[in-house]
Amino acid sequence: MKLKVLPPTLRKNHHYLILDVKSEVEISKEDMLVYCWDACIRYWGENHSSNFDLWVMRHYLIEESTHNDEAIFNYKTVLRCGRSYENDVRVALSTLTRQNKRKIAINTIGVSGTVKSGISKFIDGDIIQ
Amino acid sequence: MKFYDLNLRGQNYDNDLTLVKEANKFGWDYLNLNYTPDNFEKALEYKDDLIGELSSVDFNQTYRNKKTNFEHAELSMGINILNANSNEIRKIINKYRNKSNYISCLGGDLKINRSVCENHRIDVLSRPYYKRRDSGMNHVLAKEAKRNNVAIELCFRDILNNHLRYRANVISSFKEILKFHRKFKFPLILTTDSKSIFDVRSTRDVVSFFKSIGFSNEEIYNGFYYYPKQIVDFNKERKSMIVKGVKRIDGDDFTDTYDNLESDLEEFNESEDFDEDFNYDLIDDEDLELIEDIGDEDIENYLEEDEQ
Repeated sequence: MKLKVLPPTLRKNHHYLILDVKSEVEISKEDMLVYCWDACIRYWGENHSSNFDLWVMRHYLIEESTHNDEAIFNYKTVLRCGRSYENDVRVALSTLTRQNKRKIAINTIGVSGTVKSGISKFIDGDIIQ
Repeated sequence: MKFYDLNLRGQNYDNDLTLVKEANKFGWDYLNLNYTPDNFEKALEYKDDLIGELSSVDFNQTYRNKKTNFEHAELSMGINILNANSNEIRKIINKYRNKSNYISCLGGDLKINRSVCENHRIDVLSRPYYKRRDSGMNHVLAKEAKRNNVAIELCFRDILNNHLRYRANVISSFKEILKFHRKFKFPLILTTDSKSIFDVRSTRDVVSFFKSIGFSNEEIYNGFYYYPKQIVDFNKERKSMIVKGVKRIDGDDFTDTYDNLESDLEEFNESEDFDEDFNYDLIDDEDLELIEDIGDEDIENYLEEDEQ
């Protein structure tokens, strides 16, 4: 049996980080979630990371380019995190440099109260259809 | 507040251009590319081209903030002395002091750390903790750095490139140097030392990191703006400094009292919070509607439904 949905006042509050991700290889939405969790647990430890409540809401490929004969994939991602933990999450993500021996760089370009407003402010117009 | 990054690792034109554009995109306002003494003069040849390319970047294609950032980043070039002994450092300083506005020296070796801190002709001692288990600083070096106005540089790239216990060691060194800085008041600057576009992080991310390891707002302000700007401004006038404390002033600039001199250096404002700019993004109309819609009765109804 499915659990009943919590009333709004008892639900956790969330904010949404808009991320600019650069990588040497293609990254799927599932991979992105694993990378974010890994970065947070490595920097803050298991105890503090338990407050973050991370989830990847949207994941878009923005650009595919080459530099010095190396491919660079540029993504924009909407990452859900617990309210008042935005700074902790962005610190952890910024310290991530390599995953599976491949270079990766994550920058937080904005914080938003809803997914919709985050996309309209920071992502719209960049998405490749 | 403007963000100064006094240490980007320069290599060649193409690489530097990509690096500078990326740093400009993520909100850095002043970029200083550092070269080895051998490559410095080659780099000066394409400096104007780099500045031209940088000023042609469309502001709307970047993540720069209209309120706090310049339209484009400023660019300068300096020298970073690597792997040299005290004698070699002295020779390089004699040769390049008048040609370059920024000279830093990589630390790590105790003799180098000491000789750099005692040399007032060097601007920055870079990474005194490099390849060491301790911070490479003590109270003697801290006093010397203060007396000779040599800034100590902490690089964010050391955090990125080290992992697990090595990263913990670097953070521990940062904290120890910060402790000395609080007591002895030598200039402490914070840089990224980016080498490729994968090392570039947004200003806000770097600020959040330094906050998370215990830097106060004022120390971050001083590290990214106050001390770097002082170094840049001082070096512009270094030629007219006859001896320490005495400056040659041209007739037009001369005033009887120094009260009339205006500095464009912004004072630190205690209420300044680096998160303020983002706060306006956080309250969304839909959130407000949601809060207004829910009354006490609704909550009770929800709870009753749950109990049933």
